[in-house]
Amino acid sequence: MADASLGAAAVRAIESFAAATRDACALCAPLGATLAFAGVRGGMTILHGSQGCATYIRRYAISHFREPLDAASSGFGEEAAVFGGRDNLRAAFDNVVSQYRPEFVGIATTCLAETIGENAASVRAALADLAAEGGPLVAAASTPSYRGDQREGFRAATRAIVEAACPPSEAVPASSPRPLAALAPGEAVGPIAVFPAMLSPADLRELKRLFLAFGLEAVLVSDISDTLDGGPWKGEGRLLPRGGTGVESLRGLSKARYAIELGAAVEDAASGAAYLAAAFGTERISLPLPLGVEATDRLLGELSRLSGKPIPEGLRAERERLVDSYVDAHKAVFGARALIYGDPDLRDGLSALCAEVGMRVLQAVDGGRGFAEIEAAAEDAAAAGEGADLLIGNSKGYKAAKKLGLPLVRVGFPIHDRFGGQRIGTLGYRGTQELFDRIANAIIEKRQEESDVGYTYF
Amino acid sequence: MDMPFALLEGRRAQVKAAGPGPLGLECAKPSVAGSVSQRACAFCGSRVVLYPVADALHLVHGPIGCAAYTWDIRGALSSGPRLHRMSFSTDLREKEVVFGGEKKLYSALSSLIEEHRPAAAFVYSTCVSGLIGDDTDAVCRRVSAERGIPVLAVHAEGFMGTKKEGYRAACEALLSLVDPGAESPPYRGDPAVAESPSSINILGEFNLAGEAWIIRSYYEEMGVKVNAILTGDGRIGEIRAAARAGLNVVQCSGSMSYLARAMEERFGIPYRHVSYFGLGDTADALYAVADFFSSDGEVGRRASALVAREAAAAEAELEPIRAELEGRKAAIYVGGAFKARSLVKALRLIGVRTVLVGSQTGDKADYEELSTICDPGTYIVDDSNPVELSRIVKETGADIFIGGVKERPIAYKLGLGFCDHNHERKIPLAGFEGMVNFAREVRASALSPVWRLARG
Repeated sequence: MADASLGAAAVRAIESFAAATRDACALCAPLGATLAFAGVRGGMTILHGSQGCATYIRRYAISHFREPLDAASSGFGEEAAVFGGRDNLRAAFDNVVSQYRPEFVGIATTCLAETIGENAASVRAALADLAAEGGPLVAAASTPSYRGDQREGFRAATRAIVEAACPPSEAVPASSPRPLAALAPGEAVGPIAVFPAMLSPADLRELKRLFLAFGLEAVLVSDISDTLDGGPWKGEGRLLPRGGTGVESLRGLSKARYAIELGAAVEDAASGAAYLAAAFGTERISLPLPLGVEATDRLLGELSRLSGKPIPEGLRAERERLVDSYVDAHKAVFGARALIYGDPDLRDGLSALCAEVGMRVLQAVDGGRGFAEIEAAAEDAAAAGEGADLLIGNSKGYKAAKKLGLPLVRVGFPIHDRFGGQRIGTLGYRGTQELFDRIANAIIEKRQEESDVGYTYF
Repeated sequence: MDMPFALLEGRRAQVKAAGPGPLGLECAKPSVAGSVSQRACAFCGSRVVLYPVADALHLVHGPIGCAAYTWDIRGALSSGPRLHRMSFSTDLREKEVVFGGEKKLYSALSSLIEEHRPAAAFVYSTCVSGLIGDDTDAVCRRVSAERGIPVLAVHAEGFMGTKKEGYRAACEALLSLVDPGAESPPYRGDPAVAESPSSINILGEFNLAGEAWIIRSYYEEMGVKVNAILTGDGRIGEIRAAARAGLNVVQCSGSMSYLARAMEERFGIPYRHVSYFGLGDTADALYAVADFFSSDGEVGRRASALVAREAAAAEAELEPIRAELEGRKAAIYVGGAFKARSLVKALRLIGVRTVLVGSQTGDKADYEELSTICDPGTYIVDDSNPVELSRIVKETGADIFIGGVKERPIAYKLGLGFCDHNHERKIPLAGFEGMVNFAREVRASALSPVWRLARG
């Protein structure tokens, strides 16, 4: 974090935690890749490695989304671990295709495959002759979790998806991207590539609604808003969920004028927007998550610019209601200290929200990958008389919150101890409204509970 | 036999229907690549068996995911220390993958032992630590010598196989702790049986939702001392003194048979296979122990009284539920086939017929036995997957599914009631009262009015 004044407990934490991570806050890269691949219509994931990775990731994600998430494994045994997993990968691919008839297959490497030198390039090479006419679109991402966490795996997979859908062969040389002509009067903007962070289905639905309000077509890379938050299957005999971004829409992105990337800064190498910009001259626009009034203003301002349309009245009204709710609750939240953890995309968004309503942010030690560090940061703050008032983050912070005696406002991934994690909204004026009310109420609920008066008005 | 639904080429011998004669189901082989097996890995097997040992440090030597996904993975309760509820990982990064992780392991182990003062430490290998060739045994020996506690390397790299290979590695670690000369620590159970000459170890009971405490209370009421439970609410001191028991009573045979056999060979302790799911199986378990201690007639007399009392109480609760569930059809897919057998019987007790039953890691004997207790035509599957399970559910018209987290959304999307019989359960399903809970769980799902809206 930016804060240079580390307390005693945090320093102790850094020293003693150097070797071991306790109660991990970070997850693994193939998990992020699996969630990215799950947002492509008719998509299946193959994890190139041993069976356990696929099963663990499915179990972890299913406990959050409460939806089926089929991900296959190339099923390395000892032999493959020694002699290579190429044959296993071919067999896995054939079996996935014959069982599921997928339109898209995303392949992510695991630690095991990468440790023996099998990466995205070797996966592509192993399957090169299979990418024939009529088969599914195949994308491969290198995602060893000893190199990156779930966010990096997610970003790498989204880049792999657009690389596969818009191959460089269709591109002009990267050194001289085609300059895009200015929009003629009345000419449609066309689809816009949108690279969201690892967001909830509810937030992705909100994003699409915002684009639609300007008449803009957002092609999300990718879109789990239906695939991981859908209805009953009612005996349709389906094997894969409805929804997701279609392969044809993805292929069309080589002609997109704009690529909008949301969240904290993304390295070029892991950025789908950077790829489109380099290969096709697409304008890359990086914005923070539209969380809070000002961040949402920025996105809507941009959408207004791209569409040439003013911000619709309905969205202005949502903004006014949100600002009004800030006014109503401003004293309840002023100066309240929020301990924020999770991936940088969400952390930055939450920090911006806290800043604009007068809350203060305590963050875990930078590079901290475990809840032990988060607890240490909280204990330090408390010792200095500036203890946190609440935690904001995924449900894995529950143990820390309980230990610290603080409320936890659940956002992000995973939410394993409540229903509806997939429907938690944080984005746009509406999502922010929902989140802000929960934060303000967590603060006053704590005051109410801690008092024996039994206050009935707040 | 031709199936009325398509199966992957490599899977055809692992799906059969019960009928006269031997079933001949193929099993105990590696999962077909790309089949979306519901199995986990060897590492997972070792982790779940040892996880409930509450006063030990459990350190995963690998990249972060292996630890993150097994943090608090089981609802295994402890009456005292809760060190098992914490997740520790060496969190291997690229640097260690290139240069080796032994230094980091040594440093992590030393600082964690210093801080938490555990009674022992288990160090779990993973795919990566195995491939980079870390000598975890050497590191463990060194730290053990320096810190004066057992530090055990558990070798179950994920790629070694299924959970079963991991169970074996866990059993080997447990076996290396057992010391015939070790004194039993003060008895934690009912003081009335602390000096009983009839003593057992309970193997393969993990105290999910406090189930081990229920089982122990039965044995203690019979006058039998429970010397050690492996590994539910487990303590290193009690495991070390496990050779002092007269009998090993083994549930979850897949995970603990290896240890039971080894303890018989090494320490001459006989063992019995039992199950605590369902009234009949629970009664049989208690009678098996009473028979073993038949020289003490009092044990048998007390067992009979306990069974009569508890079974009658449970029956009274089950009767109205049976009337409501009569004629329903169930699908069962669980980790071990031994449990599946108990579940078929338990469901029959509440009027529910099993039309599909399978497991991740059953063996030939398990499946043959299943075939004899199931109605003809019941599908029996080994190492199945979501596509097969949903096709068979549709084919058979099952309306209740018994399984784990990964089976739940399959059931719900298809409009089936579901009962979680897996690691995470919060309600005890073992013993007489567990059977009543199980029936209530099945009832709550099968009779919910929401299906009227969700099916159709």
